[in-house]
Amino acid sequence: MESLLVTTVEEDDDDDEIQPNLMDDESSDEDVDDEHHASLLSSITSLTDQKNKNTQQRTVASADVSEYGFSKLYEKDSQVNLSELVSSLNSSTSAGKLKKNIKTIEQEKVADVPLVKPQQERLTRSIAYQAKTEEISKWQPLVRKNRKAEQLTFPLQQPNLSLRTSDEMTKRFQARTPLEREIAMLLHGSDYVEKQTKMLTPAEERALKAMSLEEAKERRAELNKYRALMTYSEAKFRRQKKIKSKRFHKILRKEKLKKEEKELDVLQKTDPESYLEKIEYADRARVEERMSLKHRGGSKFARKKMMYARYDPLARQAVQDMIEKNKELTKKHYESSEDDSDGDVSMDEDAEFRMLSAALDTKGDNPWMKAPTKSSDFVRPKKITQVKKNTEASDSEEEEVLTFHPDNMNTDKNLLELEAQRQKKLKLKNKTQKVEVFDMSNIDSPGKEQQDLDEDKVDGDENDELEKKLSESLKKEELVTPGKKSRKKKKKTPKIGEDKMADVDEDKKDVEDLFDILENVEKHQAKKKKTKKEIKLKENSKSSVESKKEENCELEVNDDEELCHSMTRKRTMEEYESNWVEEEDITPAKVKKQENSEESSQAPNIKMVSIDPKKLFTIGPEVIKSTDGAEIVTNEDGDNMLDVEEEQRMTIAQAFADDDVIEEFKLEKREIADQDKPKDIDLVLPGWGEWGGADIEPSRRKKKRFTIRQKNRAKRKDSKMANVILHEKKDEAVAQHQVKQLPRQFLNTKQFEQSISQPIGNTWNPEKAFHRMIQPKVVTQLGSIIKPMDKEEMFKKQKLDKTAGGDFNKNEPKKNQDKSESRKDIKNIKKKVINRKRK
Amino acid sequence: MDKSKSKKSKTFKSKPKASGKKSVQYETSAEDKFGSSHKGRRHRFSISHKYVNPFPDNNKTSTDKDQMVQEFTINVGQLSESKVKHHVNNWSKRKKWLHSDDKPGKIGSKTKNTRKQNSTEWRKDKKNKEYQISRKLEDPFPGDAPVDPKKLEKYRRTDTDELTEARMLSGKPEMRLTKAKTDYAVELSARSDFLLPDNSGGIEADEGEDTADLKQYDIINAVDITSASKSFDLKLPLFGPYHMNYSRNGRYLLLGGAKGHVAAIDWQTKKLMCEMNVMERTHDVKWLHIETMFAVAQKEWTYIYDNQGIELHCLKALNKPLQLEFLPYHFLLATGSSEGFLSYLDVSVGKLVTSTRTGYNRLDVMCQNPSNAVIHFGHAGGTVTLWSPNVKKPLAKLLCHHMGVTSVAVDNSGNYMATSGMDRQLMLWDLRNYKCLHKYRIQSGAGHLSFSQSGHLAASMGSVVQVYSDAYRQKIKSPYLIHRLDSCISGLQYCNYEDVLGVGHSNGFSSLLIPGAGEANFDGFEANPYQTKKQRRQAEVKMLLEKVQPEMITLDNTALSKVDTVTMGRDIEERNKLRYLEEKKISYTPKYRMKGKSSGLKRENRKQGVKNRVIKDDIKEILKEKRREKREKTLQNQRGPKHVLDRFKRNKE
Repeated sequence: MESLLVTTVEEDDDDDEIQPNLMDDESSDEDVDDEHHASLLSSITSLTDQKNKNTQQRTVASADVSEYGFSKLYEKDSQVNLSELVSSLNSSTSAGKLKKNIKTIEQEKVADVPLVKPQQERLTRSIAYQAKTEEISKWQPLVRKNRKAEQLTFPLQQPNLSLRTSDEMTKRFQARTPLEREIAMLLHGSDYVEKQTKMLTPAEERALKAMSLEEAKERRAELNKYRALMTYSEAKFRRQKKIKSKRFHKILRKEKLKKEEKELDVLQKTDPESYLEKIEYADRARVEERMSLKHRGGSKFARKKMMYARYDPLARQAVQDMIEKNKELTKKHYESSEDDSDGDVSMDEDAEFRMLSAALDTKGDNPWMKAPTKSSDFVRPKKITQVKKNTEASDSEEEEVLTFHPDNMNTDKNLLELEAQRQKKLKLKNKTQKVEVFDMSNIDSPGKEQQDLDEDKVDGDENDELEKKLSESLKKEELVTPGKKSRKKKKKTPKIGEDKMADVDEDKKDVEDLFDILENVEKHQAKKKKTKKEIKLKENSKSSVESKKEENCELEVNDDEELCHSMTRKRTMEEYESNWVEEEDITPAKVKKQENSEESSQAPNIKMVSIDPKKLFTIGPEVIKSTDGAEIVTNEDGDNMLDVEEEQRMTIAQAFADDDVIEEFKLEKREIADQDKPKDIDLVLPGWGEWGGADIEPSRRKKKRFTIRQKNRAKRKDSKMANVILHEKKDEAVAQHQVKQLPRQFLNTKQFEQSISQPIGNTWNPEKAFHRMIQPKVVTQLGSIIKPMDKEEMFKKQKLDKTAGGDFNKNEPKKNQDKSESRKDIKNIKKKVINRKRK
Repeated sequence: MDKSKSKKSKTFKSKPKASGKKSVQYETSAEDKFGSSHKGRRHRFSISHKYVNPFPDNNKTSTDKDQMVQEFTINVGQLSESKVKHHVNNWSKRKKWLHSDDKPGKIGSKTKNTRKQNSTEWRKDKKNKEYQISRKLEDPFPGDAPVDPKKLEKYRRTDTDELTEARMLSGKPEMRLTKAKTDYAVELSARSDFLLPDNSGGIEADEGEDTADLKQYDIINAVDITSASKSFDLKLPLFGPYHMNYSRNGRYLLLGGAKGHVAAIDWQTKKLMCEMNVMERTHDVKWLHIETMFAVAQKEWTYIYDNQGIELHCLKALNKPLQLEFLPYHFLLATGSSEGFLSYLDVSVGKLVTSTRTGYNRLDVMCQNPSNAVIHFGHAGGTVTLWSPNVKKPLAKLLCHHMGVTSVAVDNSGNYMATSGMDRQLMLWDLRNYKCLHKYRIQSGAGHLSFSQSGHLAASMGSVVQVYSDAYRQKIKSPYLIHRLDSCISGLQYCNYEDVLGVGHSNGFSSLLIPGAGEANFDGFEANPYQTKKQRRQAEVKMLLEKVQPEMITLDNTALSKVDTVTMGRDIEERNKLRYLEEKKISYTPKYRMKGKSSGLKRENRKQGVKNRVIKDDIKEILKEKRREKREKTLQNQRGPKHVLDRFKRNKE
């Protein structure tokens, strides 16, 4: 009972007012107490008081009016809760059963009374519908997209066959092996690694930041400066390279040499081992050179060059270089002290002197120290002897110096050395010697040094003498050298008797002399074999050779002349050509001019025809002015006359022709227009309802009434064109092919016409556009199964598309495998079943 | 006026020339185009693109900026305005930070406030800068390069502006797609315009000189050897005035002497293909679709020969022909006969399509409109008539001259027609509105007229040929070139893709050089002068496949793509006339029946049955009425038009 009561209390709010009383009553039933009773009474009275108040306040009629004055409390806060009602139980220790019951009630929830079945179903249906629509609406964009798509290729789920880009690969890369991991660690932490999004590495950025503007400017300025310097020096070198002065180059070389020596000195002090090595190397080169005579002219190359040297300055230069090389290599490298005494020009004279004196001292004492001179003697004994002949008076020191002479004489290279020696000698020796040596040196370069010579006041006689001596020595050398070269290949020499050319060409360049010498060597060999006759011949031929040379010179001159001539000729040719061109230009022009003049004289002068003010032809004709006339009389006036006559004739003809033509045309047009016009139907019966007869016309009223009037059609297209008749009837042939009904989606004909007027064929479109025009809406791959769209796949694909190219093909092979396996299983089972049956 | 002018020129000419040079610029048209074969683009022009500096000046005010934007859109054309605006704004932003970057030293001197601002800006700029430096730089000119709007306009066959809205929602994407496709095709062809590299040449005269003064030998002297070799004369005095015809690719020449001599020549190599005498009078000769067949209009009938000179057909259907025209896309051989018949014969099947009696006597002035295959005749009454095989009456009839028309020619575009008459007038007509554009007096009526591909007009007057350049676009002041022959001209045609004008005359044939006459860029699929045998065969098959039926020949080229509005209107009217069947509201409640016959389904069925019966009856009635109407109509037709006394007739029904 109690529980039921309580539930009713909970359910029906209307009974709320009664409950407290009831509860209280019950409680009062259990333990009757005066105090309690008093309190109850008081509470009841208070309630009634409230009720009284309420009734007084109430203005609107309400349903719940009880005689006890209970009324519903509308405020939520004032609603009575179960807990409030039962709160008194908490304080009391009795009524344990009731407490328990209440607790269970509080915990328990009682289900609603189920709805009626149809209602329930309706509800579930509506909910299901909502869910379904929600689910399906997910497809909406996809479907829309597919509908809009220009082309759909089935199956829609196609594996991504595109190759991965390197970027993607690197993104996916994971370091696995320890080495990879290590490298990755290094790379990852490093500032010098580029990042994906930035142009510069952090280190670079830092570096950029670190450099301030000023610094950068400075650096730039410095760089500029260096660059400028470089260009200057480059230019300088280039200029120097171009300088042809031998003396200049000699000086240069000398300087270079000096520098090297100095370096050697330094080396001696700092690194004696390398110094020794260098010296050894030089010695070895010298020995090898002496052994091989590679640079003396023994090689094939040298011989060839020598052959061409006479005519080719380049070859000459090459030979000279070679000889120089030879000299360089064959030069004995003395001990440093001697070296210094040899070559140093710019050294302090005192120092030199000291050194020299020391050398002298040593010479006397130490025989080994004399070795160089001896060795030089050994090298070229004959020359030395010869030189000795030349310089009998000279002492040993001079001898030593002079040992170089025969070789050096003809070359420029050691000229400066010689001069240096000369200076030394100036100090040490008498002047006569000096002059001699000086002269010797000066033989080589007669050009500019002549002035120096003059300054030094050299006698010409002495010079001559020297020359003679030289020639003699040369002759001797010639005689000697062949022995050395006899082993070499013999060579036919076309030119004979050039042995004496040396004498002749003394003034010529020393190199040439050398060639001569070499050539003569060969010739000498030949001589030995040949008879004396030939020698005589040679001697005779000397003059002839000279003459030849002269001829050559002449030839050269001729060539030059020719060249000049040709040059001039060329110029003249050009001139000639230009003249010719001019002529060409002029002649036709002239001709044309003449023609033009003729033509212009012939040209007819056509008058404007007076415009025929016919109504049909509003535009007046224009005369095309032309210089040419078909049937033209030469005389202008006559032409004019003819023109006038012609004009008259024509105008008359036109006047007659016009009328006919135009009238005819008008008539025709009217007829055609009438034919095309729908005619009114006259249904008037004369005499019907009135008098009829021969002369009696039916009344106007009747006529009007009984004629069926056709609707006025649109005006003819040619109604405003006087000289045109257009065919108005529809061309049925074309109409057959025309569209007669507007397709449904088009709003108007114009739209439709626009949509079909772009031709589709490849005759009118570029190939690409053509293919796009005709591409089908749906393409299916042959042999592939078209499955319905799989929800998971599609949405997954969309997701994947958003992220990156996924691999769809990963799962497929697995599935296939599964299938095949399952098939196998099925087969096995079947077999088993069959077997069992058999059993 | 004229006199004084001529005198002036005369005096000038008599002076010694200061420059002394006459520059003759000449370019061969189809000389060096071997192998360049592309499609469907005939005309060429050069346009220099204008690009605007994307950095707008910062100093300008906002209005100026707007102006800049305007200018930009005008010049670029292709980019939409919003896009351009976006661009400009972007650039201006960038420019801003660049600007502030320029003067970092000034920041110190400014007040704190400005400094702060600057610093914030600086930070922003830094961000920008980072963006700038980042490797994935944004393309400042994204997408394809804009296409010149003029070029687009050139290749646009139709507007697509209507193709935006569809009646149904489902039709909308489709419509958009067609629009996109059309625009794409137009854009692509505009883009590939640069593949037409060659310009047609021409002669430019110095000031005070006239190109008409130039003689053929001047031109020959000025041009290269191969071009010079294209000028030649054939002296054939025996077989009288010669008609001539060049093949469509300009490679082959057909000569027909009036006294029966017919010869086909590969005129560039001067190789004779065949030569014969048909022993009959010939009126005209024409190449058919390929160079292996040609038609000769002989005394009695038209004959077709092959390039060996073997007679293939004698077309007795085309009798007494005077003029021949071949419509290459339709494979139709049209003849104008001396008896006034215009006959069309389909060469591909050998059947006569139509033969129309024109109502004129001799149809000896004839030409075709190359753009719409309409045949033009010139008549003795000064009229020119236009014919199609589908209509037995002339499509249009123009009164052009006061006297007989001597020759008619229509230009390549099909928009202009030149006529000359016995009244010594040369007139140019616009065929779109049949109005006379220009009207000239010439010394004598032009016996023959011919338009070149580039719009030169050649007119023969007796033994003189005059060439007018650009005849219809502007008024002719003086002829472009003049050439005088020693005999009367009987045939005149420009050679396609060559700067050559062929002239047949009574003493043979002469080929003249007219610089700038031919189309410079040939389309190898359309007409290939360097066609091989294989290509020719393929082309023939393709031509046959793409053959246009004679029904398609109309004055209006675009007729096929137009809706037949007349019939459509009529149909709609008729449909509206039809009484629509309104569903009658039938209030019928089925009776209650026993034995389970009143279940819901059964009741519904009963209800439906009653409804159907009522509707059926209605339809029957309507059909009855219709039938009656129809019968009446047919009866009326049988009886002929309504007679006066019909009203007294009693209705049988």
